[in-house]
Amino acid sequence: MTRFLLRRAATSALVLLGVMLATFLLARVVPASPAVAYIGPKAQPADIARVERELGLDQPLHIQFWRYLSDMLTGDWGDSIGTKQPVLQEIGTRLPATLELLIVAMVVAVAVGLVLGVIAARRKGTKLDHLIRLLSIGGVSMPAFWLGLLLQVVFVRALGLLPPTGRLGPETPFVSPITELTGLYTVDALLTGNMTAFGDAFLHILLPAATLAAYPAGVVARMTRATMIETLSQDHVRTARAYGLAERTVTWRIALRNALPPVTTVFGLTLAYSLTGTFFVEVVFNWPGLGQFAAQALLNVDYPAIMGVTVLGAVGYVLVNLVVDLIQARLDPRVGLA
Amino acid sequence: MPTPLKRRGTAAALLAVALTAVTACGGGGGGAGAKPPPARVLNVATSANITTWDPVKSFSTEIFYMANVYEPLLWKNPPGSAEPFRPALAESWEASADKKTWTFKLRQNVTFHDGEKFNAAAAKASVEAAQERGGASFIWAPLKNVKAPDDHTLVFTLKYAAPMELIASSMYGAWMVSPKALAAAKGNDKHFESGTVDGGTGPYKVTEYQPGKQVVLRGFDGYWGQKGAYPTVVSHITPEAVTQQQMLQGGQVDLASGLPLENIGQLKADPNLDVGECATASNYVGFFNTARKPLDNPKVRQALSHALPYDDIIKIGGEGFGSKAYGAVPQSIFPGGTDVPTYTYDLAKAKALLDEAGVSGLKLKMTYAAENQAQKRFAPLIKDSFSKIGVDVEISPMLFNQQWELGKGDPAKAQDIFLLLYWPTYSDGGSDNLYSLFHSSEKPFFNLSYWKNKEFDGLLAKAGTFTATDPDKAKALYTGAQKILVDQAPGFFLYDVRNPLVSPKRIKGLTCNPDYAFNMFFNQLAPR
Amino acid sequence: MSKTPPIATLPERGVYRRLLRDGPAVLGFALVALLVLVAAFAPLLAPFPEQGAGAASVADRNLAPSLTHWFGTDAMGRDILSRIVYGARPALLVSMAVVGLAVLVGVPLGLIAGFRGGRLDEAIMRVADMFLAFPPLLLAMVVVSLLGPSLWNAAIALVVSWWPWYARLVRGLALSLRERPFVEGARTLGLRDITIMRRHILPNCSSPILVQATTDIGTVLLAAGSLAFIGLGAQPPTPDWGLMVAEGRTYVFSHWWMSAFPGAAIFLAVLGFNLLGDALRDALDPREVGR
Repeated sequence: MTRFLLRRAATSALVLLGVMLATFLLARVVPASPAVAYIGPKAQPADIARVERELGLDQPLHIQFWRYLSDMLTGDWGDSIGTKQPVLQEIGTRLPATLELLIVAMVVAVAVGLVLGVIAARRKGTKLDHLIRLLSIGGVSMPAFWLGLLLQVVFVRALGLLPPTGRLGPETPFVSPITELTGLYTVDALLTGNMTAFGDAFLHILLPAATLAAYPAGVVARMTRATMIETLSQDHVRTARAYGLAERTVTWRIALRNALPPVTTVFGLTLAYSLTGTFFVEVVFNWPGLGQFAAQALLNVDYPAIMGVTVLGAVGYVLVNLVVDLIQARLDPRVGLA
Repeated sequence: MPTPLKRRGTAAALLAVALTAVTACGGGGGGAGAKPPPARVLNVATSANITTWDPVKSFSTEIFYMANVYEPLLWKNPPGSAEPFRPALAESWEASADKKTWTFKLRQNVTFHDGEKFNAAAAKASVEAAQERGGASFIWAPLKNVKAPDDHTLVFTLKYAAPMELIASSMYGAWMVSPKALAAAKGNDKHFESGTVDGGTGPYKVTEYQPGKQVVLRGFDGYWGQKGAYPTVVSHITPEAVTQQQMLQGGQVDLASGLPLENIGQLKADPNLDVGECATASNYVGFFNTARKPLDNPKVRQALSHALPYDDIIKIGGEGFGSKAYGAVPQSIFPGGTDVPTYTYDLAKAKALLDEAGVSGLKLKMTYAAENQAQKRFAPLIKDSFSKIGVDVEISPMLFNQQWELGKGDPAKAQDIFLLLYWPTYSDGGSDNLYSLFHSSEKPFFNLSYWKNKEFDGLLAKAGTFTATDPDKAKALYTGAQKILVDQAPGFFLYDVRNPLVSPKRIKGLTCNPDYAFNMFFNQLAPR
Repeated sequence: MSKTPPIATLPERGVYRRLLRDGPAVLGFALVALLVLVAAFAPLLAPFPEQGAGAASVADRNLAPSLTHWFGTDAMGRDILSRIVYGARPALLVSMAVVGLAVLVGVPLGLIAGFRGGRLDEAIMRVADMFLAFPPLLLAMVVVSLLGPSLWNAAIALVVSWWPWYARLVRGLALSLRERPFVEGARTLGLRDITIMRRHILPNCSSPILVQATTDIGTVLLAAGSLAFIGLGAQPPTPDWGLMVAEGRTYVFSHWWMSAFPGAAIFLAVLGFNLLGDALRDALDPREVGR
């Protein structure tokens, strides 16, 4: 186990190093000098030379990269050109909003996906199965930004049931302010027993979370269905049936457990996919998270912010994959840790 | 001449102007919006970001907040007012007959937010700081020196006659700042950047700043003038115009500074809102690359000027919020006027002029600022219309900084047509718009048509000397210059921007002023 | 040299019959066929061809769906149905070009890596891993941001982030194939590596590549639309579906049709390719036969 961990950690670190090299090079290949981006186009040649010295841009590339690496590792991710604030701080203040959205969406996606997948597998070939298959493939084909807009039109405009955008109504911070513990508003409100704020935060997160969940729910449902069909026909499941265990127990306890590892793998992939999914959902729902920040940074070619978000995204992605491998190893003893 | 930052500001403000869009969800705000926010807190949605909190350097969108925290010596009144200016930190002022010496009597008993006293020494230090390191330092170009003969008198001596009132009431670069804060900023570049250390005298102090999220202003107890009815103003930074509209109509905010133009119609239908319209000092212009064939031929430029669908551009680019442009100076500011000739939309004439010039199969590259939603909307109209006279346009959106960088480079490699939203730093379209945009310059800065015309330059120089002493004469000279400009057509003039003014019926005091079109003055607002 | 039997064959008659019996597969095929036809005959099918190509009609702005304008008109007065019909062209062109180029780059690299193994394999796959370590689409977004947003830059960016998937897929297949007796046999006959790869390995990889590519055309179409939606893709006046959703977004509560129909076009096109890809997978995968 330890050896496996060490090996995975080492390869992950290598891959991350590669990612940082790639982002670093990308930002250097761009025609305009980063120095110009810092001072603006009014820059005089003397100013540019000065800033290039300050930023270390006059050094050879490998030294620059070394400086970039050590700065990143010591927590100096540079200042955003757009907001003039340290990138790491910007990320820190926005991360909880994105995490909250991601967690809620993923819980919904897994719950819905598993249930639909199992039902479809048990009713293989029926109308219900076809319907679920169509639904799940529809979820995978759905442009999130479009789904978000449709949900807004229906639930906000037509039915008037839900608030349009943001994380909280405007009066909540004044009437029943949330004491921030985790930065996840729903959790914080619950922990502090602030039910007014919880209700408000809950209503606000419904639509964005549903939008973000569509894709992973579809993927999980498809994968669950496929693996369940396979496991339900396997010997030990048949044996369990032969012992007279209730079909329900067989399905949900025995077969599902066996079907989980591949589903976990796929889930890891979709979770990573949803990281970028937040960009679109946050833009549509004005969710003050990392995705919105990243989208702005990308549109404005805000190098330090783009590099920060990219590295963070890659770290998150690599970590998710690592965790998925571990969970898979736990769930399925047959999967060797080698 | 605005700097790029300022342009970006414009772009953001433009979002306000240009994006103005969505929803008639008057009744549909649902859950959150139904209750009015607790009294005495004013919630505002704005796209205004902060590029710096330093009032001296400030030359961009942050003026939205600055104008409530800092004060200049004078404010300019909207056109048509009885008095062109009103006192701010100066109580009265006078100029010598040659307009080269200006004496300002300063208000007494004014305290800065940090406890410092406002006096002539403080004012002198502010002006000198702005002149030395200000983002808009050029507005002080005419200044020879500034003296403080006593505690409440400030005397400006100028190198040449200049309209000092306009400069003292400039939208940028004319704030009075606490000497203590100025000294601190000298030692530490980032002194102001937390936001909450301000050095103003204005009705509000910054008490909280979350970058990209919100700015909280609180009333300053020691304010000398009319205190705001709202002791707390929370500005929610909301780049998306549509979102601003949703927030406004959902009741999440009381005011929105950047509503989507395309949806103003829906806002008009909302019984809770009053919708008006304001002139601004901004206009949309375009530059032909006169350094390149065949655009070096005035005939070709005239032909293209006849092929611009002016009315449709206002309808679609401005969603109707715009008025016909007469030359390069907007109507709302000096020396704008309708005596300047214009081009009609006339494709037959355009075609004839092109034929006369012997031009066919023309291909042009047009750049515009990707941040600017109005340009994004009307640029395709120009392409469409030019295609009808056989001119093929390739549209290329770029970030304003990149677009400008390309424009300032080698004209031979630059764009053929450059679309620009422009506004003067202070209210003088002669010394700013006409000079910056079309006066000859060796190295192009904002003269992105690369046009050089001695007669035009001469008229500008002459008009400039009369601006302070004989404005009517100056205006006549400027109009003469504009006639040359329109005839030679180094650029084209699309429309003067108008802003919607949307205020909820429950709030009073929201007004228009073209010279501060990006601002809201919170202390003038009150619940009805 | 005798021709060796491939392990998985390209579609044959039984496959087509299986495909036809499957409802979703037929739907997928129909959607894709429709998309191709619309793209091919756009000028004939669009009710207002000039508007589809970009001509404004200011008098007809913001019209709701009607008999004249089935899907309504947009803010420039253009018929949205015509715009969608014309939009099929860049949509199909870009996604096919991206997948085609990704296959062209990824497949040879994967073949070499899997077949040769050793250092070369390590080198190729570590590079591929690096690309794959970016969350999907993020790398593409960064590349477009730096190159400047346009339809073609978006396509380039998507190729950059897509080829490693093919390299990885083909490497895995090649790895398992190279130990097969028929490959060993070809080796002992003294065939050059390149010949073995071309004649024996590649044909055996073609089914999985075909399945993957079919699904990917849909995925890339969705990705390009998403990029355009946040401003990192096609720019006006391109009749791009993602861009149309973005342009209509400001009007969505009052003029829902401006975003709803172009978004539906993306959805249906992606759905079509996904269904078709699924059906192909089922039909070509021997394990699934007879479901």
